[in-house]
Amino acid sequence: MEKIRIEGIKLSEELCQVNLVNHPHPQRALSRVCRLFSENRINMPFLAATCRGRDTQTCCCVSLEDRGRALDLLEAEPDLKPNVGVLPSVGLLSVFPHQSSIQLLGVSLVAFGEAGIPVYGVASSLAPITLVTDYARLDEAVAALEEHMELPPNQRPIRAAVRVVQSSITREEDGGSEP
Amino acid sequence: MAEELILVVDDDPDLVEAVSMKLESKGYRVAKAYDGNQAWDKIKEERPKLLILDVMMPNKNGYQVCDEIKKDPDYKDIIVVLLTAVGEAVTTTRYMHRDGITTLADDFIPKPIDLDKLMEIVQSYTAQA
Repeated sequence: MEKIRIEGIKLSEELCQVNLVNHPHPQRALSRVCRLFSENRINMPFLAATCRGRDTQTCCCVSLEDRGRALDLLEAEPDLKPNVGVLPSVGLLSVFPHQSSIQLLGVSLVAFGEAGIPVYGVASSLAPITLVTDYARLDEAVAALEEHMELPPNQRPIRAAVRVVQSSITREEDGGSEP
Repeated sequence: MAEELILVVDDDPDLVEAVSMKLESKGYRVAKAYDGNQAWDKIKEERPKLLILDVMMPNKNGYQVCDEIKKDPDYKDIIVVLLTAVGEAVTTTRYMHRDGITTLADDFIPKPIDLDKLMEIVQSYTAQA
């Protein structure tokens, strides 16, 4: 079968996934989690919510650096704590562009399925489809995708170069410099 | 009027897509790259009129790419607009990078990007208005 031509694959740093499963008031719970993390300047590189009948799951990923603070915050919330689950080591694999076609998602899921690689979350944005899987299996996941997809010549998957953090910008009087 | 080619370089595919869509809506042709090495490949292949170049990227960062372009007599005329997350701290287009590289870009725009402002900058350097 002809491979799908893609423009790129991007891999994240190691992250921790926090799941909020079957909370009786999922929208309120999600709002609370977002507020807690926002107030404490914890970024979520990935956030997805799913609903099937009465089964709901909200999953978000935070950096390992923020994992302890994030879990402490959730542990301190009696309304959230019973529904919280954690995957300690996950990574994001983003493949792009999907070009508003469902084909890339379908082929990605087939590739992961054939290789027996778990998918803990899926989301799409403007260009990529992003899948969450075990961090230790990201390279294996890339190899599985490359059975079905073709990157441009001489191009390898890119790894995130920077981590976005929330902090105040400090003005430097001498004209500014990269931190 | 010929459509001018703009190369958009950033390791965030969503940003590349958003900027590309905006440029295409204004009649520009767009090439895309996701790190510094790919950017150089595209520069050599397609010779863009202008680069929209992120600073912080894997493999080869935007400072290095800009520095190399401006030192290369074959490519130094390519206009470079740097995207920087520290734009508010920058008052000139000269950046001192921690590696000691001094880069003289033609312009810069801070992240998060104001697309309308970016279009103004691009149009000011190109014939298309």
